[in-house]
Amino acid sequence: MNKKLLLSFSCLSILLAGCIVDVVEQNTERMAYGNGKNLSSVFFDASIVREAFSVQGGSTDSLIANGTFSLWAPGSGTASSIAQNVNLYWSIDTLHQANDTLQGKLFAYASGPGQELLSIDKMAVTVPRKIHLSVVAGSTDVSVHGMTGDTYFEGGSSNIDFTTAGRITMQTSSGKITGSTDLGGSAISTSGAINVTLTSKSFEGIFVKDSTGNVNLHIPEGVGVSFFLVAYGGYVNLSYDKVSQSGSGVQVNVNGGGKVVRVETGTGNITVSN
Amino acid sequence: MKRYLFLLTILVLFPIKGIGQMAGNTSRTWANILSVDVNLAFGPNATATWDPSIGFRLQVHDHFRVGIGDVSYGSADLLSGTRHAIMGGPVVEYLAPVSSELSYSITAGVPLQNRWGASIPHTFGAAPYGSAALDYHFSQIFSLAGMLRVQYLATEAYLRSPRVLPSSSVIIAFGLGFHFYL
Repeated sequence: MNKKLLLSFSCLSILLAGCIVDVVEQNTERMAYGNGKNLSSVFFDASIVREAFSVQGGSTDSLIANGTFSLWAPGSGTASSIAQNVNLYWSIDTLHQANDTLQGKLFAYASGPGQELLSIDKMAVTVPRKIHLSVVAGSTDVSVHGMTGDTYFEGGSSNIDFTTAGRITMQTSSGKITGSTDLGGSAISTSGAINVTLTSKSFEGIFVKDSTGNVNLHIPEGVGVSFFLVAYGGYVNLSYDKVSQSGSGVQVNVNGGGKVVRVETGTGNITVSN
Repeated sequence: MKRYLFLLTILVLFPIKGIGQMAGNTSRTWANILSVDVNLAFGPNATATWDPSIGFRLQVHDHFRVGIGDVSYGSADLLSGTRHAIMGGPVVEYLAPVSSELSYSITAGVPLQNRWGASIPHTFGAAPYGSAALDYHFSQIFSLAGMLRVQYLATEAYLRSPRVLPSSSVIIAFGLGFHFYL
């Protein structure tokens, strides 16, 4: 009797387990427009975006945001009613900032009942390409493309891919950092792989640090570079402008030296090439 | 409809109690229990929601324990920011041995929840539940349990990471329990 009971219980568990009954998901989209003229920087908190956050540099002064929101409600009628309360808008702080340091922010909010049930699934924004961009994320993947201003990014397990003509300052814990920059900057991760391409011979220098992740760095040919490459528990492989060196550490001037390329890893491997 | 499903499930599960009483002797060395539980349920679009928790129950009778359960923290990312929640509430457990290694139990609890953050005022929630567990005793001090929980959201909303669920939702969750006998 007990065996039958246990068997029945196990079957019931498997059949019924793991579902939430009578909850529907509804998605709704909102767009927001703003004027980014005289804007020097823009800040985004991407940590509350559940899936993906993307930034595109635009040739005009327009600020455009396109958000996809989702909500869980007891029925589609209730969901539609709650979805009407979603608002998305740009804010530019002209009160506390001088005209040449205006900062823009994007805000989303919901009024009325059901505001706890709403989340942001995706957000895509277009900002003037020349401004300074700051993005903070937790685990949301972020992409930044078409910027010419400097880009600051801070994430946890977020992956970031980017293309910018400006400088980068990027830091993650386990997220991957992948992209290209004209001017260089710094990229730091604890365990995420770092793949950075310097796209201009006029880059200023670059600092890359990783603990357990691998680092791949590409540099345009014909630049005078001073390399400082150290992998404390990994392997360094330098192959740049007919100079090839490898080992646990490489320090060499190529083409007479000059611009500093410093890469440090713990157990991760370092590969630097054209 | 959801209320009826909740009540029906409870009614189906509770007859086990009577059979458990026939299993007889519960004079084992385990008594009070420290539990570390986690349960999982999928919402729309296969979104996984989960609820890890700890609890402590005192044995007050051969077949009964009472205590505090579902002590937990959770968070959900809303459009206005991150909403946080702490939970915990009274628990009553009926238990019965099946063999020297197996036992099963029926638990009823009322976790109470306090939510804050995301520019939304503090809110309280409650989600009573009934659960059935089958424990395999690896030793005198430890057992691993498979659990089925049916939970009803009795208040306006209830946070279950990573989402906030609406009122009247019914959660049917499968879980694992790590039980330490003190």
